[in-house]
Parts: sequence; structure tokens; C-alpha cells
Amino acid sequence: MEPEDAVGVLRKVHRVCRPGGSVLDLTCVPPAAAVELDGRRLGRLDERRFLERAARTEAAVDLLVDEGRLLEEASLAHDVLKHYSSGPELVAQVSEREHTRVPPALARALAGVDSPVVERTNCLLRRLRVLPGPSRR
Amino acid sequence: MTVVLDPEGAHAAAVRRLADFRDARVLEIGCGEGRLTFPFAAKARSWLALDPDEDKIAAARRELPRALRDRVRFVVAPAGAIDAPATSFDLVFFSWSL
Repeated sequence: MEPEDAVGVLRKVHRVCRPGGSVLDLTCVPPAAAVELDGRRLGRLDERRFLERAARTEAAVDLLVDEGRLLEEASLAHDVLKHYSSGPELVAQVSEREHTRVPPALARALAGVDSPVVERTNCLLRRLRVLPGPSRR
Repeated sequence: MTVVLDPEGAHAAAVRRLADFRDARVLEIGCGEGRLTFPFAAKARSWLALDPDEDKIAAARRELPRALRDRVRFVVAPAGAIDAPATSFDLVFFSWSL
């Protein structure tokens, strides 16, 4: 979804969810995902474009908070791991993503890694309460 | 190719801590293959799960446990296609889809 569409979707969500109901928003946050081998960080992915988009969509959530449609109640940061059987497998998989790149130095470091590697992503889960808000009038 | 996402269950653990699905009418947006649908749908009253990717929805339908078939519905649709009467849901869950 384009970030500018997020506000429209959230306003629809605000309409279809009852007042007092909840919105759960699971998203990624900086820093960019780390790539690890045996618990040692080899580097970070280039997720600038991806995280910029995520930040813009989170700004859409914040806009609805400012509008009095949503109220943030709780949030929980957590790391999520994606396991690959080798370095080249990670590089191949990430290359299919639209907004993420493997930096050249990291790609070189991963090229000869035949053992499992891990991508560690920083995630945030937000819980927001649906308020009556202006759209219900 | 062997790629495994979150075998540790970090996402599910976070959701379990913050959300209460008991008897809720749930709208999930960006359900993918149902990875975060299946662990929680049994507690819900109903669960409508949307994703624009036809292949992922097909996979989710294949994996849907028989015990959840009366309450879970997977639909191919983008987030912007939400079309439901006002106050139809108690909880809306965006999983990496905004």
C-alpha cells in the first residue's frame, strides 16, 4: 500500500470497527534488519526506503490519533528472526524485495557462507483503541 | 531453499500479550498465508482475513484447520477494498500491511 493510501484505509477501519474496539498495527522500525552468523552481526540490510515508507504509514496512524479517532494504549517492541540456510540464499531472497537492498560489502561477506544465517528485524506492535471520532457523526 | 520466518514465535507472543480475541469479530488485513490467523482464530467469534495475493490466500485456505472453517474466511482483496457496515468488527489487525 502506498503511504498516502494508509490514511484512507485507516478511516475506513475506523468506520467498520465499533467504538471501544481495537486496532492492532504490526510494523517494522529502525534500525534496519541485522544479518547474523552464529550470533555475530555481519552487517545491516539497506532498508532506508522500506523504513521511510513504514514511517510514513505510521505517521498516518498518528494522524488518526491526532484527529481523535484512535487512542494509543500500548506498544511492544520485539525482534523477529528469519532463518536462511546460507548467505547466498539470504542475498537471493532479499533481492526480490522492492524496497530493500543488501549492501555490497555485506553481499561479499555472505557470498561464501554455507552455514545458516539469520535476519533480525526490529518490529513494533501497537494497540490502539477506536474512539467515536468525527466520521461517525 | 529453506527459509523459516519466526520459528521462535516472537510475533505471536507479542500479539498474545497485547490483544484479546475472545468472542471478537476480527478483520485481519494483510493475512498472507494465515501465519498469525491460525494461532488466534479459535478464540474469535468470526475472522475475516484479507490479502491481495491470490497465491497466499490459496495457501491459507489449504492450511485452514477444519475446526476453524466455521469462523474464518479468507478473501483476496487489498486493504483499500474494505466494504462492511459500520461497527461490524471488534478488532482490526494490520500485519505489516499498512
